[in-house]
Amino acid sequence: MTNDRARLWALRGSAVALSLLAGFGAFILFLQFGDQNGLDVYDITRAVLILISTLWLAWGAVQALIGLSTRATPPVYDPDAPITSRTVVLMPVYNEDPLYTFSRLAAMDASVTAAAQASNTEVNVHFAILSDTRNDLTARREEQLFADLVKERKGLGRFFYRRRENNIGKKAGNIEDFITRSGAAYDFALILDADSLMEGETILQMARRMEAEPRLGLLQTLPKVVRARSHFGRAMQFSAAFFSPVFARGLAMMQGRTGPFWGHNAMVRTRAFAESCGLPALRGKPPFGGHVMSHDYVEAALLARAGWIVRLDDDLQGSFEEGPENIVDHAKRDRRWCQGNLQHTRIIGAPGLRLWSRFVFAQGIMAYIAPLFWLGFILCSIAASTFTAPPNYFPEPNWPFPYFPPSEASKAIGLAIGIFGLLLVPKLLIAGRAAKDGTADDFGGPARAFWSTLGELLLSSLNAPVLLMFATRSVIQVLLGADGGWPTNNRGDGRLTLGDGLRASWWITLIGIVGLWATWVFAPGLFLWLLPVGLPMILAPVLISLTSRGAGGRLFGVPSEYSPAPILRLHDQVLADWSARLDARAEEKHSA
Amino acid sequence: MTAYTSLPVVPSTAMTDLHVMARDTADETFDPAELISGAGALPEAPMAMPAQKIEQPQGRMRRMFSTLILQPARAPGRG
Repeated sequence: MTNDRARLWALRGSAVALSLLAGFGAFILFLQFGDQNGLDVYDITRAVLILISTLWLAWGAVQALIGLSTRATPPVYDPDAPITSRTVVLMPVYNEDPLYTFSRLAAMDASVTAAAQASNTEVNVHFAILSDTRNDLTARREEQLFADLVKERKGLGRFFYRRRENNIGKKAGNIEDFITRSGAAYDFALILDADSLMEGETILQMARRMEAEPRLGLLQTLPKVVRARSHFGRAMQFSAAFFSPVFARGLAMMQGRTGPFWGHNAMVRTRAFAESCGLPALRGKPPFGGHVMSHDYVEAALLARAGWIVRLDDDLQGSFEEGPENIVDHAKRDRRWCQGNLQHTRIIGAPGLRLWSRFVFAQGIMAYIAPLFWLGFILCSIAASTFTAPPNYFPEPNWPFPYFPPSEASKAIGLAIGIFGLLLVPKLLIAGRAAKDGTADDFGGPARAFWSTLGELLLSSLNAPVLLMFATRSVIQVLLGADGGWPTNNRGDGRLTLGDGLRASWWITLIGIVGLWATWVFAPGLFLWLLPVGLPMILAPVLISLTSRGAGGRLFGVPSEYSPAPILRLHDQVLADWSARLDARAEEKHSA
Repeated sequence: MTAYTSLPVVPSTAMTDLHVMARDTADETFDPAELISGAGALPEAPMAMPAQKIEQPQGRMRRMFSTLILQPARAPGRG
């Protein structure tokens, strides 16, 4: 084993050991707390649930701590080297408005051209729109806008469009169809999502890095969420810009040669992808069988299995995406991801996979079933208070004075503080470091970044019980065999009325009311403890509606708002030009 | 300002200028249907993408287990 590998496994081992330590610490503390009246089955069950939940929280916290210990640095390569490879930028689309998606390609093409001119480099970058659109009206608009795109960008022979007759295999099948038909024409393929946007310079640097490391099969960037408008969207956007780079750094430190693939804003070596990533349908029917839904994790694992390096280069900037604007859209997307990740239970044992790939699958599965452990803990606590006999204050029949069992409340409080600490401390540490090293200046200064951090913590705490219920429903649906399908992502402003919120979450409100009532009647001692969970559930429709409203102001301000990246400004301009042209064309048609 | 530490800086006006120039000088118009079936169609350069083995073969125990677990209810057949 080389020194690098030994160091990598030492780091991974330490991270797992620290998480286990926190998990078992919580387990023992809870057993001591439960032992004050003698341990029963409820205590042991709750202790196990606390162990698993704390282990999961601690794993996230440890990643942040590792991320805080280093800075993102570029790999060794020549950033000015001439580019000899051919790259194709793939944009799979599925019923999205082509005005927004195709204008992104126009902006990226202009950006690539500018970057190539600035570095005096000849480049060979093509763009392919891979349409899986089912709506004929949208498809006709795609065709018209494609012609406009080719005309405006003088892109004959550089821009391509193809619409599949049937969308077998969804996004993975769409990419596979491209590779099998045209893959040999290109060395690298940059895979995007319909809402992706990347700087031309970033694309060229990715091609250079792929050329510099011939064993590199996939290069993933860390996309930043941009253009959020609602309270919910902007809080997520802030979180993705402020906290995520640190967590991603931790992940990058532990990745070795088996880094992540998040399905978009990543470049693949076409040959490596073709020979390693052909995905068959799984045995049986959805949700566990059929086509692989969360194909990206599987493709990363398959590339690593075939000996290719999969790498997250978190130092690369200029990579953007958009996110959901409200809780309901977030829950819909999560429903799809939940099914995809639970489907990985079928793949985790695939022959020949690297141990870390299996661990990554396990993490993905855990991310979706973790809420069930918390819910189980709450339900078990209510049951314990209801069915456990109260303490016997007169254990000696002939002794006139009461006996008070030793109070272990301090241990319960300590445990609660510890668990909240795992959630809060990493984010507060990130805010502290950002204030110290000047990163916070990009977020409006240290004070504003601090208030945004507190705001994000508050909002995510309020939303957590609602999201927990949506996640629980998703897992139950998948386990009961319900296939969530492949709904189109909503990419509008996402504003929801109170009625929309009520329609989406009446059942959460109902569970919240019944749950708090049951606690009040059967376990009044727990009522105050469960109020922070029950109250947001009861108010779910209000929360959903309020957080979907447009949010301006400086709270949750991010660098892309204070100083938009060039590609974002350029895309705004292209979009404005195209919108004006389409309006003029519609007016012409109307008056004719 | 966000530092694009690992990227050489491209002046943002260069991109805007290129976009404006391309927009204003674009004169050739295309019929969408012709374009999509002609020069805008994907290049023909096939590459094999063999299906990978991503599941363990189903063992006897697993087959027995899968017959025991609950299956989702099927819709009643017609006729």
